[in-house]
Amino acid sequence: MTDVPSRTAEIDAYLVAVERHLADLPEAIREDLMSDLDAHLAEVAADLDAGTALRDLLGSPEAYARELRETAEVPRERAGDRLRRGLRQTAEPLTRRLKDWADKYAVSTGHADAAELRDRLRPGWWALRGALVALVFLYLFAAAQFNATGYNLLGSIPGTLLAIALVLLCVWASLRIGKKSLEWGRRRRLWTGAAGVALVAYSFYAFGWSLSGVVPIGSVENASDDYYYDDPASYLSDIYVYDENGEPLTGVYLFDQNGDPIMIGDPWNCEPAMDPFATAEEHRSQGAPEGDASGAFDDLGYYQYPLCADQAPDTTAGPSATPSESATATPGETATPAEDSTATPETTATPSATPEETATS
Amino acid sequence: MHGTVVGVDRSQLLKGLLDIIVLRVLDDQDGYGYEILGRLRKAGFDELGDASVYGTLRRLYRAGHLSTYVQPSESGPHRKYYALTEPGRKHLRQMRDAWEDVSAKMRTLLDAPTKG
Repeated sequence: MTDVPSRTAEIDAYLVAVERHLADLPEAIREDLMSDLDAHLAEVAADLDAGTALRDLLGSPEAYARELRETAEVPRERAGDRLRRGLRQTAEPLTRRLKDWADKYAVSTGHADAAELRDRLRPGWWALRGALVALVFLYLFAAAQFNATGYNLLGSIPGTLLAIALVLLCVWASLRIGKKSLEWGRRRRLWTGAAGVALVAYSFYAFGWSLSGVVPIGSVENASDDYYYDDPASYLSDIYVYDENGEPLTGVYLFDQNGDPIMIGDPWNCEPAMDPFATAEEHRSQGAPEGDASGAFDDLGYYQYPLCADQAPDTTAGPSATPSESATATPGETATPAEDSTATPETTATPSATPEETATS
Repeated sequence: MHGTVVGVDRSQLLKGLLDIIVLRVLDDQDGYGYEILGRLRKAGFDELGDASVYGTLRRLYRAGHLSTYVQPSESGPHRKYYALTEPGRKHLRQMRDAWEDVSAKMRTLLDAPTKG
């Protein structure tokens, strides 16, 4: 009995070694094997002579584990099959209930069961599928041709004829494919079904606007303009400031309530392209008028308004007609007298010169 | 060298028959792991190892063909005895039929005079 503790240690060491070599087995099987192996090895050891080691009788733990694995391992299911079986088992109650509902629904419509109803509906689905293909094609065709989605191709008679012809052709092809697909294998039909689902999903995406009741056909021509109207920040390109006398102010800084500079607009947009990194002095030396303190940036890097001083706000200044018209209205009235006042001395000078000329001559 | 090859072939053959062998041995009398191995050795299946028998016992147990019970022994630790269940008996019958069928055909095939 003195060898009992050493026997136990020997069994334990053997067990650990065996388990290490079974590490890659499925957990359930390994646990089942290991759960009883200690008892089994104890039985084996009980019959051993005192001088004989466990591995003398059973061989190395590695060989033992290999033999164990060969006999105990159930033929392994492929991972894909296992996953599929697991999913099917999990979803089984749900699928059965759905099937019951589908059958009840089919029976209430006067059909034997859901399968019969499905068979009846199938050609309808084929036709719908073909029509959807045609519509999606027309939609993409119009988009590629006119660079605008939602273009009303049916607006013209040739377009309508083309659309009808295409729909008929696609429905015919789809019906043919559908009839043929009844003889196809499972995999091929699965792909066809998946393509059908994808088609429906894309159709919802592409034609969703028609379901919402908003048909964007009217806005196609000036769609890009509409976009700018919706977003005032992207529409603002410059700011012109005038004093109470209607005199344009230049070199104006704008700050918000926090004292942070307001830098809206786009100095890169100016007609004579400015070097956005040049200081005001550099701008002047680059040919900007001396008296004109325009320079989109000062030394601090803030914006100085107007950003484009030599671009008088007129109809071309703004990207849209309406706001720029109102902008020209105000400075236009005040600018004209200012120009007149400078022009007047010239015109008055001319007559005064004339007498001198006549006097000298 | 030749001897080893024969040994390997035999153990490969026996691997497919482990179920029927172990079930048949237990059909006579319940047994525990190491003792079952002894019975098999006595029956001439020398190349079967302890791990094969133990692994087969566990697999048959998992499949519901065997049940277990523990019995104390005078000479050592408790022993886990394995016994056939009703599905196990049925499984043994089916496998036995299959084996009879295969072995009869094998006998005919092997006994047929070789040509040439």
